[in-house]
Amino acid sequence: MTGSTRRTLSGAREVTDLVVAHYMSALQAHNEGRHVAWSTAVAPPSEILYSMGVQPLFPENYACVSTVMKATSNMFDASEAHGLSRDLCSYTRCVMGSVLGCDAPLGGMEKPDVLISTKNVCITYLKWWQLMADTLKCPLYVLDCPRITEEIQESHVKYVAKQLRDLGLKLEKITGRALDEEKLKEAVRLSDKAAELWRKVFEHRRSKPCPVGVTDSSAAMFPIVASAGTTEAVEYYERLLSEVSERVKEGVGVIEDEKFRLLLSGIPFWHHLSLFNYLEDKYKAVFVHELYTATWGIANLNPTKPFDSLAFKMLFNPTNMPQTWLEKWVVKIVKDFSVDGMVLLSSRSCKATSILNIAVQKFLREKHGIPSVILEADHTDERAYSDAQAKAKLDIFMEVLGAR
Amino acid sequence: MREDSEVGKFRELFENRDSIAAEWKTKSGRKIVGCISTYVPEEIVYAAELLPVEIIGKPGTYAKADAYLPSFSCSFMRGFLEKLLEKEYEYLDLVVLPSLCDSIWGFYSIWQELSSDDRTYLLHYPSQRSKEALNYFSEVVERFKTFIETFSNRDISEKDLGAAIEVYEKNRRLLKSLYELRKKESPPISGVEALEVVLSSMTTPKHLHNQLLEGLLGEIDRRDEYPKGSTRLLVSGHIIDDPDVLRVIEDSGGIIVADDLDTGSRYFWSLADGAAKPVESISRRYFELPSPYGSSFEHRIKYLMAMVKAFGVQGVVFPTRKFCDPYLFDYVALGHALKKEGVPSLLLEYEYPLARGSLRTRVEAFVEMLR
Repeated sequence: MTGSTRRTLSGAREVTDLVVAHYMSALQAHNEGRHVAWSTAVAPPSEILYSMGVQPLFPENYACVSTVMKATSNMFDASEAHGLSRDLCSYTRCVMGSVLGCDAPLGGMEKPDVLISTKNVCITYLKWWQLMADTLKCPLYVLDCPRITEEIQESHVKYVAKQLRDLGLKLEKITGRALDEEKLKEAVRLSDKAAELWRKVFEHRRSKPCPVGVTDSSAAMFPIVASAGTTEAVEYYERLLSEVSERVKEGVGVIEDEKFRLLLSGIPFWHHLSLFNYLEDKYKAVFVHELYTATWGIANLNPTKPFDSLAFKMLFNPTNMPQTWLEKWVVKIVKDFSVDGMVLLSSRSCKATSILNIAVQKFLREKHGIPSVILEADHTDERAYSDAQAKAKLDIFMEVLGAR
Repeated sequence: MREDSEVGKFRELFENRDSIAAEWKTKSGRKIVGCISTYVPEEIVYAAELLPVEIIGKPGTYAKADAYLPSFSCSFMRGFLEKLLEKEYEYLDLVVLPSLCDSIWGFYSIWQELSSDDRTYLLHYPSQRSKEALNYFSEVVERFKTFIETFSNRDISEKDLGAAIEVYEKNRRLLKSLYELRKKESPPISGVEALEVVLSSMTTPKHLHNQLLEGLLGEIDRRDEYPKGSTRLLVSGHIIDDPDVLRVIEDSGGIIVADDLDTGSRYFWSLADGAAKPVESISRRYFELPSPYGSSFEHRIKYLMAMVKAFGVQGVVFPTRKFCDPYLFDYVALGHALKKEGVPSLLLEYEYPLARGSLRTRVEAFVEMLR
């Protein structure tokens, strides 16, 4: 989320400072006698944490920062020497390197007082967090999230909400601070507001030319992941939205002579974000939507029912929803955002975001006539990536799109 | 060798499982349910007079499955999908999958779309071990029972379920008695044979398997020739649906005397607690299995170490499919815990086609080190 890739929005450039401030805030929390929690990043219960003065950190985000900073190789080595297979999640291998004590960016993550995990994305979330709890001798709280096979039902919400209340009680014991339900409601209201603003930013991307590209949004997603439930996040997205609105009004796009509009699926290859610029420069192709960055904005929250809302948010994420839902979502985006084609990023070490790609590609082509290309590499581990191959595959895809 | 033919029966049962199941279906006119036996409360399926069978991934090529699942999903789910697409599993009326891992979830999502009729059921398996999670799991099992009742068009009374539990408990006790014999200095049954016994238990009507097991237990001690190998090994890991994997290990000079496998002791070691309400009793049993799917590392380590000690194990082998994330993760914790206890271990990653030569070399080196 930092690094040398071209960002067109000042709101996206601002993120570099926010990232540093985020990691410093954990240090500050400890200095002030507050606690630090390491949480999984897809729909985390940060609202509960912020309302109780607990500073959340997100190992996935740290892995992504480390990748952009090109600092992962010794971390991978340390993890693999410890016994982690190279086929396991590269986010895990990166962070575990730091947990095991090797040199890491920003001096490593501030040590946690509690770990919070759930399986709402992948089994890796559970196993990775267990491994960290074991290595760091830190208490772990796991929220059990059922997979959604049809629709989210009241029984699902009730079950997860109950666990979130229980998490609140556990945190009260750990921190010695009471959970104030009014503060929590306010955090949920702020989180909902930030998500709404993030959705509005996306809505503007229907415009031609598209005012926001993937390198912008891959940076601008940071506050909605890391700071959901804070005023800072709301203020950030207000600034971002006003900048984007201004662009739309003035007809400014990421690329002026936009020719192709693309949809992205999967986690960006953080080590080669420049691949996106390649598409912009060579083919005037712009990403007008990403399923990944949009994930953090899809749920509506009701501040009067904070626990139920947060439970719903945890359950309602694309990797936890049935493939029928995913397919409908994609088809709607393609229509609403005038998408010409889709790029599916497959990460060999991330089944959760990649395992359906071949099937989705086939279903989209056969049932909806939507063309797509799959690029296979790894989101964090550069050793599994070939820039020449990725570009060659994109070249063919863009030629096909051009001929349509 | 009369005695050996008793053991041989289980191999035959397993190897001929498809034709036996198809025949059972024709004769009984009842339905067959494919499942991942260790984590699906089969007692409920059995109580409805359906036949629950463990699903098997076909080792080999994945020509048809490759059109849907990537090479980095596990070969078990790829193999199972291949068999379905090759129409080799036409006798399955329903597939019940526990929500264990990402490959299962991926497979489920795809198969939902591909199968024309509604014949896949995802059973939530909890990822933590709180009282809340147990209560929820009991509700899940209760809903599964209702589903099976509708599916089989047959009410399952408490008495039916109680009777099914009894048959299953008997099978568990018999399998445990067989495993007990492996504690002897010279075990009368090899690891490959033990696996075939367990796999056949997962694919054969339980009452029939019980009869055969009783026969085997009555004769096994008098076997003419005991299996070779003196270095005592334990295998730990996931579903091993292919005896060849353990054969490679035992061909390398060791003998497998115990296991911590989904298709081994984990399937039958713990018994139901006999609580008054059968659904609660069943739920608790499945919920408390020491697995990578929600148990603590401590729980798994405790179970593994108990097995190591009880069976006089010299070394532990982790035969692990490439891309099986949960077990690859657990190996890290378990391997380090074993090391602390002074028990050597070996991670044996494998993929199909089996690289027998290099697998064998690795186990041989390990066994030599243990001598």
